[in-house]
This record gives sequence, C-alpha cells and structure tokens, in this order.
Amino acid sequence: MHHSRCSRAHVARCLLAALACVAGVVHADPVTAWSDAERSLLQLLWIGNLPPLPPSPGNRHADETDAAVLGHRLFFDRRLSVNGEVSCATCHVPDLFFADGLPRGRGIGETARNTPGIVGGAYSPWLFWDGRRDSLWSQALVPLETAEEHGGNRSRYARILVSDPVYRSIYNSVFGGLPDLSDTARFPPDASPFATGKARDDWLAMREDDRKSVNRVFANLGKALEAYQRRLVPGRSRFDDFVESLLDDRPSDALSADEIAGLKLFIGRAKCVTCHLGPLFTNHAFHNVATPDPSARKPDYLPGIVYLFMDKPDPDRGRYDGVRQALESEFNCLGEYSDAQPSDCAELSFAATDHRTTLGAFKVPSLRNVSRTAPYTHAGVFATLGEVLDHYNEPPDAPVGHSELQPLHLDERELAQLEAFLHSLDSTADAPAELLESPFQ
Amino acid sequence: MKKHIDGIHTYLLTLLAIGSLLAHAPAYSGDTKQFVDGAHFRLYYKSTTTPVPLNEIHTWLLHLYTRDGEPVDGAHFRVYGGMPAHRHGLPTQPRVSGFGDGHYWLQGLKFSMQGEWEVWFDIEAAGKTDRVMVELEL
Ligand code: HEC
Ligand code: HEC
Repeated sequence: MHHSRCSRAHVARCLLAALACVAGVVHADPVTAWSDAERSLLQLLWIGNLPPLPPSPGNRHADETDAAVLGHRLFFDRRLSVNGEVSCATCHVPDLFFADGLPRGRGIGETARNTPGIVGGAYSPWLFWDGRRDSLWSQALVPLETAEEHGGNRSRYARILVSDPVYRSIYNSVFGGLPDLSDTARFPPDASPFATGKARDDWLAMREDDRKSVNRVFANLGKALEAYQRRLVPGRSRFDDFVESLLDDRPSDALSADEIAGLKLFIGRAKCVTCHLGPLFTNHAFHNVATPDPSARKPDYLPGIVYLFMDKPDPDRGRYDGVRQALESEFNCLGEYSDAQPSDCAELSFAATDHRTTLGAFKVPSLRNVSRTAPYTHAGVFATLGEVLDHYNEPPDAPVGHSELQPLHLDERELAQLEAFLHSLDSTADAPAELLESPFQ
Repeated sequence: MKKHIDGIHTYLLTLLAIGSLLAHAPAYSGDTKQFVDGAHFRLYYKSTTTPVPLNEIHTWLLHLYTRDGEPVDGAHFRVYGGMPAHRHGLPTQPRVSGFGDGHYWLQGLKFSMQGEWEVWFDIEAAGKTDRVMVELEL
C-alpha cells in the first residue's frame, strides 16, 4: 500500500525521480514528495478533520444562545471577584489567544501554574494541566473560588446573579428558578466550603437544602460560562491551507521550504505526533515529558551544598493528584449538579489512577497558535519555542515519575525548521468578532 | 523495453509487499474475532467498534474457555497494558463484567496514540491463574 502511486503507468516517472535523486538533483516537489503514511498523518492534523463539538452531557444548556450571551458577560465581569478587579479575561486575554503571556497567572495573587489558552477547550474531556475537572462548566467554578484568582465565593456570586436585572432575566429564561436569597440569616453574603474563617463557618452553618440551592446557582454560572467558551474554536492556519492543497494534489505556497522541512520532522523523526496528533495537535491525554519543576530549582543566591540539605517543596505530581480531585468533586459528571446519565460519564468512570500512568503526567496542550502563547508548559518554565525544542532534543530526567521522552539528535538547522513549522499554526479564533471582546465596552 | 520495466515493476511491488507485511504483522484491527492461549485458558476477543478506534473509549466482547473448550464463568480479570516503546500505560482503567456462558464485556478501553499497544489480562478462575497478552497496532 505504501507508494501505491508507483502504479504501472507511473513506473517510468518514479524511476526518473529516483534517478534524479541519485544524480543529486534536488527536486523537492512539495505536492508529490509525501508518502501515503505521511499524507494520512497530515489529514489527521488538518482542521478540516475537526469533528463537530462533542456534546457536554452534564450541561443541557451548553449549546443555547442565551446561555452563551450570559456566559460572555460573566467571562468579562470583574464584579465576580473579591476586590472587583479580576475577571476570567484578566488571565485569559482575547488578544493573547486567551492566555496571558506570563509564566504564572496573576489575579488576586499568583497562580501555581501557567495560564493555558482556552480556544478549543470544548474538545477536551479533561480540564486543567492535571485534568482535575471533567467539564468546562465544573472547571469554571474553580478559579472563582481560588484565593489567588478571583478570590470570591459561591454565595457572593449567586447574589450578583440575583441582584443584576440583566443577569436575573437571562438566568431565569435559561435555567429558571433563581432562588430568593434575601434572608441573610439563611443565605450569608459570603459563604463557601473552600473559604477560610467566617465564610467557611457560615457555609457549614447553613441548612443543607439552602446550600444546595446556592450550589445549583453556582453550577449554572459555570454552565453559562461553558456555553460561551464552547463558541471559541480555532480557525484555519497556513498549515491547513497547505494540507488542503496537498490532499487535492494542487501545488501550494502556503508553507516555506523550512516550514515544510519542519513539518516533515514533526510527523517523522521528531515523533511529535505520538502525542500532538489530531486537528488540535493533541491526543487530550496525560504524559510525562520531564518538564523541569521550577519550585525544585536552586535559587541563584544559595550555595549548592546548602540547597542539597534543604527541605524542598514537593514536585508537582500533575495527573496523579488531578484525577483524584476530579473523582471527588461534587460538580463532576456523576454528581448531583450534572445533567448527565451515568453512562455518559465514561471518561470519569474509567479514568486511570495508577501512578505509572499518572505520576508527573500533564495534559498534552494544543499547539494551535502556540507561537503566541509563550511562556510554555504547565510550569511556564520555557520562555521560547526554541527552549521547548532544546528540552525535547536532550530531555533531562523527570523531576517525578518516569519520562516518556528519548533524545532526538536533531541538529541546529533541524531545530530551527521545527520551530519555523510551529509558527505556521497561527490563526484567529473561528468565532464571531463580538465574542472576542468584552460585552461591556 | 516494456518487458524490462514490467520486470522492475514486479520486483518493486514484491519489495513493497514484503515491507508492508513486516510493518503490519502483529496488527489487531478489530475486524475479526481472535484468541490468545494461556497455560489454562483460551481468551477470545473482538472489538465492538471496528476498526479499533483511536482515542475513543470503546468495548470489546470476550469469551473465556478452558483449553478443552469449556466456557468459564465467574472469572476475575485484571486488565492493564500500554505502549512499551513509549514507556507509558493505558490512559484508562478498563473493567470486565461477565454475563454468562463464558461471555464478558471489557469496557473502558482507550488507545490514545498510534503505534504498538499491549493489553495484558491476569485471569483468575476455578482456582487457577493465568496471564495472556494481546498485541495491537493502531
Ligand atoms: C488568575 C488568573 C486566572 C483567572 C482569573 C482565570 N484563570 Fe483560567 N486558568 C488559569 C490557570 C493558571 C490555569 C491552569 C491551572 C492548572 O491547570 O492548574 C487555567 C485553566 C483554565 C482552563 C483549562 C484549560 C484547559 O485546556 O485545560 C479553562 C477552561 C479556564 N482556565 C477558564 C477560566 C474561566 C472560565 C475563568 C473565569 C471564571 C478563569 N479561567 C479565570 C488562570 C486563570
Ligand atoms: C510523550 C508525549 C509528547 C511528545 C512525544 C511531544 N510532546 Fe509536546 N507536550 C507534551 C506534554 C504532556 C506537554 C505539556 C508539558 C507540561 O505542561 O509540563 C507538551 C508541551 C509542548 C509545548 C508547549 C505548549 C504550551 O502551550 O505550553 C510545545 C511547544 C510542544 N509540546 C511541542 C512538541 C514538539 C515540537 C514535539 C516533538 C519534538 C513534542 N511536543 C513532542 C507531550 C508530548
């Protein structure tokens, strides 16, 4: 099946081509110089192969326009924070492909990990670098209650939905039944199981059914945010134009010679497609690629011998902890705030938890628009794509668990070609322009 | 001249055929029912989705027999595996449940990368333990 293009009629041409190569005539015709195996990999990476959005069984409003309108406003609303200054868009900046350009996110404080872009997130069965949530709606609830991010609590957010007339009306038309929270004895202004001090005590003192009503509003807030984020999918890049021409046997100048050489490496000798496969350039799985742990790095001012005997922070165990948190979350696919049937929750039900698969493993990120989302990895440790590629070329030992990488032995020129190729994945998000900016302008 | 090219053509095709045979020898595509033998048991397996899908949770049908061809019920399975070439395990934790006459469902399998995979079965039934391995290529 390989080289089936050398059919009877083509034998003479193939022989000529072979002779030309032997004679050292470089005739790299970009249309014909791809094997069938390479072509099928290119097709798997092509955006034309992106399936329709997968359903979100836990959120029956995921594809409703009104829910997305509400989510769009919530995403940019800075009132959803403890100091009135942080919104989702503080860290997921539309002009930065919904990332922030920083090693670690900055909200109320600094986050423990790097801010990923969120375009195409609806295709991912697991959210966060460690996959500690199993849907976009349950993911959104985490930053809202994390001290370093929005720093608020569910009781406060439920109150904002009730008191803002626009929110109240859209909420009631989408979800119905916004509860009456005016009795502050029953519904304290600040209360959450993840808060500290009074807000936590107040939460624990609430009646169970009152806690559930607040949880329901909070979950719906996440469901509206999911409806908005589902509309953010990546658009066509130069790479996609190139593949489309190739599959139609048309010549294309969408990629330069160096970018084509980089692409050949990406799907070939550099083995990037073992993990970065599919139209989003990810298999959505978790792998250990030995990313250095910045918290375990020796500070410059400390002598090595002192550092050697110091207590060091535990390295980030990634998926090992993430899968356990996903299984415990009351907002997961099987939980009472999910609209899913248990049979819809296969990813959660069959999630691997063993340390061999999960220890030190992180989610394979999409590489679409990767040239615009530096710095890189969960830890934000690489400032440039060049640094990422040097890491893959000569991988160190994993800080925790077992690295899956082997040295690539690429030379400087090949590394530059690979990097050039990664730039061809730039595109704008395939979403209406108004969704890419704040609705409050 | 024509004859000469035909000769080369056949030669090329033969080489290619051998090449693709070698490359695809161990592949289990899911199209057919196949089996592996252990010391005590024979395990038949068949993917209910064909070909075996990339990156999709799916189900296999298993039949467990003794080496004399008697169906075995009530077996306890431990399923694990991975990609030896890439030093990582299965991305999911599949489970087996029986429904009589030596039939079992293997649910929750997922293969998240192209290449060679191994799925191992530790089987415990009728006071005997066995271990078999299925190799497949995606
Ligand atoms: C302070 C910065 C900050 C704010 C504010 C913030 N995020 Fe994030 N976001 C991050 C960081 C950092 C991560 C990765 C954290 C991790 O994996 O542990 C992340 C991860 C995500 C992911 C997962 C992407 C993926 O592919 O796994 C989504 C989706 C997301 N955020 C959406 C939101 C939404 C919706 C909001 C508002 C409710 C929000 N974020 C607020 C910094 C922020
Ligand atoms: C074994 C699976 C695997 C292979 C092979 C692999 N990657 Fe990755 N890649 C990952 C994972 C996992 C991450 C996230 C690592 C982390 O957060 O610590 C990642 C991160 C990246 C990033 C950073 C993206 C971001 O947004 O932070 C780039 C760029 C990248 N990979 C490119 C490549 C290239 C180019 C190759 C081939 C030379 C390659 N990868 C091979 C799994 C893989």
